[in-house]
This record gives sequence, structure tokens and C-alpha cells, in this order.
Amino acid sequence: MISVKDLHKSFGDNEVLKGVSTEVADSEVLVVIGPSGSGKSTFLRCLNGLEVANGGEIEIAGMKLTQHRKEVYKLRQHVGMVFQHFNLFHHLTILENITIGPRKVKKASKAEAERVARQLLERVGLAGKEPSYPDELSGGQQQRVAIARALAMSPKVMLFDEPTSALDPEMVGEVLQVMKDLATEGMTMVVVTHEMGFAREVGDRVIFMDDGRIVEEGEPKALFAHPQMDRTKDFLGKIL
Amino acid sequence: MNIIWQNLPILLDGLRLTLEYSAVAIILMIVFGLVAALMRLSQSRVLRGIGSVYVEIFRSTPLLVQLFFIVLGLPAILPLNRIFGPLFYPILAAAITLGLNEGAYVTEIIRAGILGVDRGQKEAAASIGMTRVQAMRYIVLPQAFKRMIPPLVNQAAQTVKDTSLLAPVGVVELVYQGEIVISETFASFAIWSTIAVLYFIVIYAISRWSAMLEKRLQLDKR
Repeated sequence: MISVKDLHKSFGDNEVLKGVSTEVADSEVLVVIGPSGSGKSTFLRCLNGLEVANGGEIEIAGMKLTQHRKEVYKLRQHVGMVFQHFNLFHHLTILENITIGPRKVKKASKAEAERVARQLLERVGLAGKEPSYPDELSGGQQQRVAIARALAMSPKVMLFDEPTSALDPEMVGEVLQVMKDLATEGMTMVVVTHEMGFAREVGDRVIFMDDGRIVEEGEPKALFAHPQMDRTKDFLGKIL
Repeated sequence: MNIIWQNLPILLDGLRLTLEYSAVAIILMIVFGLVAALMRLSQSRVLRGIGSVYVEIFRSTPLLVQLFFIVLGLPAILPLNRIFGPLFYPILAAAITLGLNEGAYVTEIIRAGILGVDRGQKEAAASIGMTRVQAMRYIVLPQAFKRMIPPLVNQAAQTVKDTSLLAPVGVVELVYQGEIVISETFASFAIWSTIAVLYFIVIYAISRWSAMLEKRLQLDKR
């Protein structure tokens, strides 16, 4: 589903990604962990072209990520993204937040877009919130709306950029539950997170990144129990 | 007092023209300001350059000089009076010049408003496949306009005041009518105070409206 080859990215003189390669299979849940500044968020943002890589190849669902703007727009319709700070559209209602993509990008009819949106809200446990505005919702609720907004485009892949890092602890569970359901339904997911419980329970594979490189990867339970590299041991020792 | 009452219809006619020029200039300043702001934020270096040159030229020279230059200077080398008519060209040129001048300030207001919208909004719009134009139109601008309303209303009040500079280039409005009345009646004090009061009423009304909007926008954080 996703294939990344020798991805390089620099911000000025600062090389953030120093050659990252990996594959993600259909319906696989890949969890990316690592210390801050390791390049894991940049890696994720390169996957849908929010950051333009300086070198390497990315292919998602048979589409190559190129510099052509039109092709990038096209690819993003198939790659949903959930952000750390939700980034719901503040001036739109919950219903409009979810329908605006299908309506403006896919030219879906209002009735059809709203029908799908109501179903998605039901699915993330927020039926009845249609007329509310994002600021009236809790962080956990906003993040679930953000997931629904991404799903409304019927993506083939979902990217999660530290989706629970900005949440109060008691709201983390409800967001992780929605993500778990998604994984169970067979969504291909790449998740940057510090939630080791989620990684262990839902992840098919974990990548540990440090200093712009993949240091170690493997099946979550095995990697957490028996890390091979010193840097992985060091990092896991601090957070587990 | 009698002089004021006798001449009030002429002055009110001038005020009507002042308000008409203001309305046209305010529409133009929004159009010019929006276009120039989008140019200044564009990825094209050429468009950015044109936008900056426009803003700098109109902010770095006096409006009165701009008016003399465009209304009276340009027709000296171009057949503008013949094309647009010797009566219509000065009116047209004055309104456009005023719109261009105020538009330079509006450019900065709109630019700041757009830049004030959190970057995450644009990224979220991009992530659902919106083009840059769609993201600007449906996501960024609607949020930016809300913050822009108070400073834009202030700029509109400024525009009403600046129409008084149209009189020196021969455009009939409130100040122009006042000068005619004074030349006939010699009642400088009475007429100028009346003119001041008329401006005050209009502009005070606008700034009260602006203050009210600002309050309401603060309550409504969306």
C-alpha cells in the first residue's frame, strides 16, 4: 500500500530525514516511535506531501508522489491525516467540517455528503453534535470529529500525527478506541505516537526512529520486550 | 444661523457626493487590497514584487500628490480627457486613485488577517485534498475576514475623511461645495463648522459601529 525508498528531507542545513525506507502492507498498522526531533513527524508529513522531500521515492496505493501539484491534490484525497492539534475548521459546524471535503473536492451532493457525515459521526460516537462548533467540544471529541472528517474522503490510508498528545489523559482512551476500531476494520494506518499500549495492542509493526534514521523495527511485543539496539533500549527504558 | 440654514441644501448635496465617492472608493480599496494581499502572499516572486511595489508607492507618497498626478498630471501626456470625457475623467480618476491609496493600507490589513490564521487550518484543508485556492476560499479567508472587520471599518472611516482631498483637484463634494458657499457668503466660520459637524456625524457613526463589531467579535470567538 505504501512504499518509501531512501527518503531525505532537510530544513536548511538541518538534515531531518537521512534516508528512510519502509513498506506498509494493505491493512497493516505501522506505529512510529522515537524521541522528539527524531524526524518521525516529518516522515509522516512527507507521506501526503505536506512536506516536500528532498530526495527519495514515495508511492501510495499505486500513485507516485511527485512535485506536480495536481497529482499531489489527487493523492491526498486517498490519504487521510489526523493532526496533534485536531485542526478542525473553527468557522464551520461539526457537520460542515466533515462535509466540506466531499462537497468541494469530490463535488458530492449536499444530501449525500451529509448522509455520510451523519453515519461517520455515529461511528465515532458523536451523533447529535452536527450543529455544534469545534470550540464547543472537548479535545477528545474534536479529535474524533477530525478522524471522521478524514474518513469522509474514503481514504485508502490514514496517517496519525501524535493524535493523543494534546489531549487530557481521560480523553486519550476514546480516541484510541476509534483508532482501534478502524484498524480492526482493515484500514491501513501509519501512527506516530507515544502510546506504547496502543502500539503493542493494535500495531502490526513498530519502527523506532532516531536522528533521521530507522534504528530498529519489528513486531511490537518482541521489540518492546527485546530491543536489540542500545538507543532503542535507552529510549524504551525512559518511557515504558 | 440663517446662513447655515440657507446653504444647508447645497452642503447636504456635497455630503451626498462625498458619501458616493466614499462608497465607490471603499469598494475599490477592498478589491485592490484583496488582490494585492493575495499577490504578496503568492509563491510567484513576480507577483509578490508587483504587490510590494504597489503598496510602497501608494504608502510612501502623499495622497494629495497622487491625486494631482493622476487627475491632472497624466492627462497632460495621455489623451485621457478625450477618451473618458473632460468632465468624467477627473471624477473617475479621483475615485480610482483614492481606492488605490486606501487599498495599499487594506493590503496590509488583509495580509495580516490571512497570516493570522493558524497554519494548521491550511494543512488540514490540504490534507483532505483541497487545492491552495480552495483552502484559501473556503477555510482561510472566511476566518481571516472576521479579524479584519474592525481594522477595515477603521480604514473605511479614514476613506471618508480622505475624500475631502478630492476638492483641490476639482471634484465636487462637501469641501468643494463649502468653498463655493464661502466665496459667495464670506461666512467662513459658520460654514466650516457646519462641514466639520457633518463629517463628524458620519465618521463617528462608523467608529461606533466598528467598536460594536469588535465587541461582538470578541464575544463570539469563532
